[in-house]
Amino acid sequence: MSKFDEKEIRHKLEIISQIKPTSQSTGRALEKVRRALISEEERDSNTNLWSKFKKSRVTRLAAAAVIIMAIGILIFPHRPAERTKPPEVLEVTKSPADLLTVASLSIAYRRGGIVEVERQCDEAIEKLGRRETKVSIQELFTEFNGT
Amino acid sequence: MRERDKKLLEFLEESGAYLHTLLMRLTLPEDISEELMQELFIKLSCLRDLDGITSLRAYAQRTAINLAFDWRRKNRQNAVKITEIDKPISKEASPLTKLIQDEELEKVLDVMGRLKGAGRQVVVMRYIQQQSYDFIAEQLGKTSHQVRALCHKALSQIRVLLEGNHYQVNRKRLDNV
Repeated sequence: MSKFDEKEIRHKLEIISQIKPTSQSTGRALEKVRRALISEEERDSNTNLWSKFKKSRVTRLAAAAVIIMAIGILIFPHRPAERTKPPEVLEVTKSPADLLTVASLSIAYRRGGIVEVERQCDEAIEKLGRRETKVSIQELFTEFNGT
Repeated sequence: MRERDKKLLEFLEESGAYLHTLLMRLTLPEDISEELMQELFIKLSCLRDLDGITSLRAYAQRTAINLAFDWRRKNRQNAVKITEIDKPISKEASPLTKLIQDEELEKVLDVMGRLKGAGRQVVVMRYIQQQSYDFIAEQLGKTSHQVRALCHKALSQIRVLLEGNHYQVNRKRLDNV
């Protein structure tokens, strides 16, 4: 631009003002915008449910609770069951002779000390029943030998 | 369909062609104006207070002007030359195309993008969109007299900036010799 007078500038601007896009170009541009607006609307409707879900405080708390529970179940799957299960106790009825063997008394001692040994002896006496204070030699032989 | 999308589609039918023409005049390549048109309407659809805008056309026009000059500023280095505008169907270039193929037009547009405040918008509305002073005043909420003053000031600034550019170009040429 050799001269920078305002008249010349206005002339250049007037030339620009005469530029017009072709009808095809305008049609293409409008169609692109229509498509963009419609696709944006579809995207919004897809995310609408999720956005509502995110906005609600109650649903967020519920989701957090569910997630925490799921994690808990995954990490500790069997422990609650184990905890509620009572320990198995084997109740074995033993004869008085068994109750008074060395092995049986030794187990009782390990289990509960002298108290447990006394308890086991009492149990054996209860099962055998009361005896007379005086016993003859003959009776003793009969008891031990069975004859 | 949401109410705002309906409103925007109606607005597109009503003012789409006008806005596309404006974008093309400011950016020149057709494909760029198509892209910017899409960007403009996406911006409008993202507005929270669309119903609160008193004149959607004025708002869209201002946004389009800003988008176009932003594009010019960002793409100054790789700007598509004005000669790359779609060739006419006939083999011989029309007088208008010959005029368009004037690099000085591009210089004027680049310089316009450097204007501050309402000056740029006023020049675009008055000299590129050929709108009346009264109409521009109504759109901008100013008096007709103020708009005339803004136009005059903006043209002076364009002249000064063009002279500065011319001086810089000549200086570079001299340095290279």
